[in-house]
Amino acid sequence: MDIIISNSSGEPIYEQICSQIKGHILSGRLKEGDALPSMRVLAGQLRISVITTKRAYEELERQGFIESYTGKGSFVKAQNPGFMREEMLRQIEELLGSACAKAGQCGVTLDELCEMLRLIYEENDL
Amino acid sequence: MIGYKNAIEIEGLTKKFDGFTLSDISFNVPRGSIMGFIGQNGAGKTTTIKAILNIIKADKGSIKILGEDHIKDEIDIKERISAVFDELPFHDDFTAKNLDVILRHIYENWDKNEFASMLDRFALPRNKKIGKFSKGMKMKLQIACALSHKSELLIMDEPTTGLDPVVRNEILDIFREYIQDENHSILMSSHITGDLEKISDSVTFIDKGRLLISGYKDDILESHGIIKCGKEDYKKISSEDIISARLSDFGAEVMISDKVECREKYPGLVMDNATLEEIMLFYVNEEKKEWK
Amino acid sequence: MNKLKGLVLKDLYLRRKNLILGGLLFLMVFILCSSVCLSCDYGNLARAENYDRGNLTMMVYTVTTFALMCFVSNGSSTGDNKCRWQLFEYTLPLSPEKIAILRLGLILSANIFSYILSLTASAIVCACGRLDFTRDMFENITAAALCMFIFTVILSALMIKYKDPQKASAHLMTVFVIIYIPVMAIVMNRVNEIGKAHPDLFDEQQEELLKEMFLDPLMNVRSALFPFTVLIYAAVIVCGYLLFVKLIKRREN
Repeated sequence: MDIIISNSSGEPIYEQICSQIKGHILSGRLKEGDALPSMRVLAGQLRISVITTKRAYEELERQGFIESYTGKGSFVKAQNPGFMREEMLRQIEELLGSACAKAGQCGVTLDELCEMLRLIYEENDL
Repeated sequence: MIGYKNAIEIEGLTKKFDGFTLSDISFNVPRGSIMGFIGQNGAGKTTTIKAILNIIKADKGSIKILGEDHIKDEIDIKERISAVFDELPFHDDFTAKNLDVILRHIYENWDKNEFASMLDRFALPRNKKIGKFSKGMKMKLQIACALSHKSELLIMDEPTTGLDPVVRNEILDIFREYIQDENHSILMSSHITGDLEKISDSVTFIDKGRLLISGYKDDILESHGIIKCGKEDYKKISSEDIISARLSDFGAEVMISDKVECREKYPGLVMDNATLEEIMLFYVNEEKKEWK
Repeated sequence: MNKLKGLVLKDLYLRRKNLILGGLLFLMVFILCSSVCLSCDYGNLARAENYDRGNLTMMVYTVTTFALMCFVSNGSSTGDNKCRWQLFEYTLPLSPEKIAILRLGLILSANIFSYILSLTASAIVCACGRLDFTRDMFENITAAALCMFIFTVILSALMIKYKDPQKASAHLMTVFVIIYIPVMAIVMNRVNEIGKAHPDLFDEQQEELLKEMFLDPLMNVRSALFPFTVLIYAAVIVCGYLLFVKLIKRREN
């Protein structure tokens, strides 16, 4: 499992870890029942504070992606597909939101934006 | 192993000297974590550490180490903790082998195999006089001694000061390894905020003998920020939000302690993240309020 | 006890060089003094007429002095403070009682070793010069060893209190001077009195009187105390131990 943190992105590190693990789960790279590395090991490997990884895991648990058992560790929770789709939709909305904001900043119209979206979608062979 | 929540608990530590007073220092080092103890030279870090180790007797306050009273159970505690200082506290004429023999008798839990493997790992010669070691080697030797008797707590006073970046990183890696065991804790004082930013779980700032701020590093870094704005906008910022402000001919840099709240209160102003070093600088000038 | 072994080893490691040098120095002096004594029968002094063998007692006391000085220990190693070993020692699981025992032990064992060495060496030197090993000599050597012991215990206590060997020595010197001045004043006074009272006597006879006035009482005190030597040692040990423990506990920095 790859986790890459950036110090220069505005996002707090625990959020980066959270969203990357979420991504792994949603894309199927992490399956139900898979064990996550312990908070301490992860912190040691990423060279960050264990408090940060703890927070990331707590957030993932709060959002229903993982389950933690004291003494055993943290495991990927069974995801229901509707839930996953909802999460994906939420993320798409967020990204579209930033795209719209940027468009607004430099005066790109809705039509131009849609055209760009269509081109990109087709380019990516989706 | 007895259950204790905090490796170190300090409450109301006060000590008066001529010309310097350590007043009302209170903070905890949770078990399994690294506490970065930050302050300028002369701020009181070494004094606090000496009080923890019972090298100085405090005027007031209580200190608990590993859940036990730091004076009553001093000997028992010292079997289980290690101290590391900024300068090697051994005679120049000793060799690493001498130290092994001496410490083997002093510590009940001295593990000579562990010591030997640490010496190998750090590539430290066994029979060379330690006076001839380089600075980095001296620190690694101290750490080897500290880690060879199953200690649960490392108390370190400026362990990375004066070392080059490569060696410093090696040593920080060793600390990270040490902390992988959740029963191990570290209290580390330094004025190299970069190191502490990398490695600590919590930080405590001290200045002129007083505690400035103490808490989880992530929380402190997330909540504090620096507003960079012009002089006009600066006047609009309410003084209760400001820790202190650095003014120049071209504007102001203002440290605030609640980024979220201030983003709402002062929309449109540039707000940067703050580093530990900047937090230290701005807090040190808290009383002055405005400085250059 | 294991812990003390560690610290004793530390002391020996560090004193290795000094002990060897001290040993060599003592050996040289011993050989020198023995030679001087031997020369009474076999060497130059044999040719001197009526050489007073009494002068050879100087050799005995020279050997004694060096025996006591070359192996003396004040319970800690030089440079303990400079290299901050002292600081490190405070982080070790050693109780003040153990540290006090260690210091006292080091001082005492060095002292006893020197004492036995000086007795042995003096006996040999006397034999070389065919002198009697008198009771006076025995008592003097014992008194010297005891004084040395008391001195090193006091110095060690000052070292614990003042940490810096220079500061400690300075304090010791101050105390010494404070005692020395009035004592010297009294002595000089008496000397002058004698000079005035007996202007007619020759120098040698004045010397005799001075001897009577100062040395004889001292000798008497020494002889009186001699049977109690072991007791005095014990008393110094107990007081020293209590003092050390108190000073170690009261460390301030």
